[in-house]
Amino acid sequence: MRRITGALVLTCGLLAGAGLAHAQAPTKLDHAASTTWFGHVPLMLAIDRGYFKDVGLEVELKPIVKSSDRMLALTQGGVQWTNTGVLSVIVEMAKGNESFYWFANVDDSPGAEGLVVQPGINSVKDLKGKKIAVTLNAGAEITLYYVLKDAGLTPADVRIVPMAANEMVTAFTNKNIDAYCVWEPAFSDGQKAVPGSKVLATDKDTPIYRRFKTASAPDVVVIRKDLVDKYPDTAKKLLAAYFKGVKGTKDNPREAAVSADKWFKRGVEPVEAGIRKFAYFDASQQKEHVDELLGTIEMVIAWAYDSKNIDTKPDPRKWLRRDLVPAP
Amino acid sequence: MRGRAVTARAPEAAAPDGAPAARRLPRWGGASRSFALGALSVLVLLGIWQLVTAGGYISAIFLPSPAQVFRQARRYLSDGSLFWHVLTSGRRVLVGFALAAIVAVPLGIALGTSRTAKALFDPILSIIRPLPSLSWIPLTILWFGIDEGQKYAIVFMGTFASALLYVMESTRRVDPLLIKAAQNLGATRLDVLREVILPGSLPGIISGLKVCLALAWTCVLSAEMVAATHGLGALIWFAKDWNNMALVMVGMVSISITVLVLDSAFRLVEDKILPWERHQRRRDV
Amino acid sequence: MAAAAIVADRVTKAFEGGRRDQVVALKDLTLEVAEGEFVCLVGGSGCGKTTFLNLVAGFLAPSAGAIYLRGRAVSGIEPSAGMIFQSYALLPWKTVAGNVEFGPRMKRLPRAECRAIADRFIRMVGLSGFEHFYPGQLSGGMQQRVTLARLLAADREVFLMDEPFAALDAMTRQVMQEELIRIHEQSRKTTVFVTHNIDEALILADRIVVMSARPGRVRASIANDLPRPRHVDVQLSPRYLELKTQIWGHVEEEVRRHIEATPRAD
Repeated sequence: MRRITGALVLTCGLLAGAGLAHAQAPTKLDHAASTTWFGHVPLMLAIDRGYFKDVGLEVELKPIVKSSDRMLALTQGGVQWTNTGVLSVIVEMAKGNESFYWFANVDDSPGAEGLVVQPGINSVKDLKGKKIAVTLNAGAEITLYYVLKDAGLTPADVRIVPMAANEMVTAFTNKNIDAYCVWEPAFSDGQKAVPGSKVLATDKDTPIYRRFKTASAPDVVVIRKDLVDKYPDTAKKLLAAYFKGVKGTKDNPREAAVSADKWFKRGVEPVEAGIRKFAYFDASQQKEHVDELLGTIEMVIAWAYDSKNIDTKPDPRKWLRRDLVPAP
Repeated sequence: MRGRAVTARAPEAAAPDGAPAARRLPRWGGASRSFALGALSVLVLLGIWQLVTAGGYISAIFLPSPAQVFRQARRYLSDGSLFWHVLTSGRRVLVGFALAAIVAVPLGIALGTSRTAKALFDPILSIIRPLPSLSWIPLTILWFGIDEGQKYAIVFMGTFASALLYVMESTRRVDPLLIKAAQNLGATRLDVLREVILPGSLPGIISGLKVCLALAWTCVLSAEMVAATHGLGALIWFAKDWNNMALVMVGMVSISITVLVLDSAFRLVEDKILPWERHQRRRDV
Repeated sequence: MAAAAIVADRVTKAFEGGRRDQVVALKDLTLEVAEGEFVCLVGGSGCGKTTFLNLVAGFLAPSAGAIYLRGRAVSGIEPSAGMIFQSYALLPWKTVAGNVEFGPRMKRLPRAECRAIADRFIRMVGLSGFEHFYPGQLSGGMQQRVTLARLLAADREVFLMDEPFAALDAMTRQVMQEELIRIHEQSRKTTVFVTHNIDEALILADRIVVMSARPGRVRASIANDLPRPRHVDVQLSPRYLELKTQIWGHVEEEVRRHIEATPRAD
C-alpha cells in the first residue's frame, strides 16, 4: 500500500513539474519550409550561423513540401512559424482560422515559375484538351489560370492533372503529361530532362505581375498567434535573428550558399547561382514591400473567390502584424 | 459443417412426412430491432458532434461541425458531382478488384490443390501481401503511366495477394472426408474438383472476396493520389490541398456509405449463389 | 458355404508417426467375410477398425498382405465398395436428391435414370417429400438415412459402415438399426459394420469379430445365432445376455491392454 502511494506521489510530482516547465517560455520553435526553394535560404543561414542559438533559442527546419500542409502543421502546433505561399494563408483566413499572424515577405523571384510544354507544342492554344500538371492551392495554379485566360482558354478546356512538384519531372519525362506549371527547381529540371521542351509563359505573364511586379502568390512569413501573444519577447528575439539571416543572405550570397547547401545538397555553386537570381527583402524594406504585397493579395483573394475555392473574402489586414518586423 | 449436422436439430419424432426439422425465426423481429439500435447510436453520435462543435468546445478549425459537412455535401450533391465521384471511384475499385478476383480464383484453386505449387508460391505471396497500396504508386506510374490503367493496377496490387490467399485457404479447408466420400462414390479427379472442391470452397472464397472488396476501397485513396480529378479519393486529396476539412469528411463519409451499400448488395448475391447457407445466415442475424 | 466376398490375408498397416516411431495399426490381420454376410467389427478405440475399412475401400494400401474383393485384389479406390461415415459426409451444397443421385451420376447414367434411382431409394428410407431439402436443414437421423439411400443408390457390392449411428441419440439409433436390418433383409449385401457398441453388434450382425488392441488383429470371431428376422427387442432374450457376456469378456481384456499400453500424455 505504501509503495503504491509513493509511486502516486512521485507521478503527481513529475506531472506537476512538467506542467510547470511547460508554463515557461518555449525555446524550441520549429519552422516549416522546403529544402529546394531559395526563399528559405535566410532561415538556413540563420540556423547554420547560430543566430537563434545566440539568443537562447533552438530552431529546426521541418521539411514540408506543400504550402497547405505547412499551414496545417502550424494550426495544429507541430511548427511555430513558417514561410509559405500566401494563397494557402488566404484559404485559412477565409475559414476564419485565427491561430496565426503574418507580417512580412522576405523573398520573391518572378520568373522562377512557369509553364513548360513537350516538344511539338508551340502555343498555349495548342494545349486545348491536353494534360497539364499543376499543384493545387499554390501560386502556379494562379499563373496557369491567367496564362490560359490570355489564350482564350479556361481550366475546363484542358485536362488539369493535380500533382506534387516533385512528381512532375518524371511524369513529363515519361510523356505522361503534355505540360506542367510549377516553380523551381522542378521548373528547370523538367526542361533539362526533355530536350526540345519549351517555356511558353512564366509568372511574369500575369496581371498580378503586370500591376504589382510580384510572383503570383509569393511566400509570406507566418507565426502562431499564441506564441506572439503569450511570449512577445521570445517572438521578438526569434524574428530579430531571422531578419539577421535575411540581411546576411542579401549581403553575402556566397556564404549563404555554403550554409544553405547543407540542406539543399546540390553543390555550393548552383545554390549560389540560385540565390543570386532571387530578390530578398530585409527588415528595413518591409514597410513599403508589405504595402505592395497587399495589392497582390487582394488580386489573389479575388481569384480564389471567383474560382469558388473560398467562400468568403477575408480582410488580410486582420491578421497582419507589421510590428513583428524588428526595427531596422 | 460437420458439427452442425451432428447436433439434433429437431426431435426425430417429426415423422418423415411431417413438418421439416428446420426452425424458422421470425425474420422481422430480430432484424428491425438491430437496425433501430444501430440507427439510434449513429444519431446520438451526430448529436454529440453537433453539440461539441456548435458549443465551441472544439474549434471549427480542428473539427468541422456536422452542419458544415452537410453544407459541403449539399454543394456536391446538388450539381450531381458527388455521384460522379462515387461512380468514378467505384469503377476503379470494381475493375481493379475484378481483375484481382479473375486471376486469384483459378490460380488460388490450383495452388490450393497442389502442394508443390503452394510451396513454390508461398514465399513470393508473403512478400507481396503486407505491402500497402501506397507503396506501389511509384512503380505503377513507371509501368502504366498516370491514366486509368495505373489506378486499376494500384487496386489490383492492393488486393491480389490477399484474395489469392483467401482462395487458397478456402480450397484447402474443404473437408477431406467429403472428397473421400465422393471418391468412394466413383468421382474422378475432375469430378472431385467440380463437385466437391469448387462448391466446397465457394463460401470461403466469397467471404474472402467480400473482405477484399472492402480492402479494394482502402486502395482508392492511394490510387487517386496522383493525377486524378474525379473520384472520392481525388476529392479527399483536393480537399486536403485546400485544407477544407469539411469536404475531407464528406469524402470519408461517402466512402463509408458506398462500401456499406456494396456490402448489402454483396449479401444479396451471396444468397443467390449459396442457397444452402441461407437458412444458416438468417439464424446468425 | 457362401463364397468369400472379402478376404483379408495377413494384412499389416503401419503409419509413420510424428516424432515417435511408426504406429502399427494392424498386424497380420486375417479375416473372411462371406457373400451376403453382415459382420460387425467390435473393439475399443485405436484398435484399427477404421483403418481396416479404409483398406477395404482402397483409401489406404496395406504395408504387407493383401485384401481381395470377390477374388480381385484391392488396388486403389475400390469401385465395388460403398462406405458410410459417422459424420455423414453429405455434400452440404447438394439437396437430398442431389446427394443420393451422386453415385449413379458418377457412373454417367442418363439424368432421368439417375433421378428415378434416387427417388426410389429416398422413398425406401422413408424420406419422400424431402428431396429438395439441404442436409443442413435435416436432423441427424434423417441425414444418416440420406447416406443410406446414397449408398444404396450407388449400387455397390459391398457395404462398409464406420460407426454410422454413433452420433445419434439412443432412440434415433434404435430406429435406424431397425431400418438397417430391414434393408439388409431385402438387399442381402455383404456388410462390414464397425462399432464399439456390443448391443448394436448383437442386434445387427450375423457374426461378430472382436479385434485386439493395437496392433489390431482378429481376437475372436463369434457367430450370432439370435433368430432372424431380428428386432430390437431381441435384447430381452437370455441368449442375448449369454452372447453379450462372451463378447464383453474378449473386449474387456483388449480394452484393458490398450489402456495399459497407451502411455500417459507427457
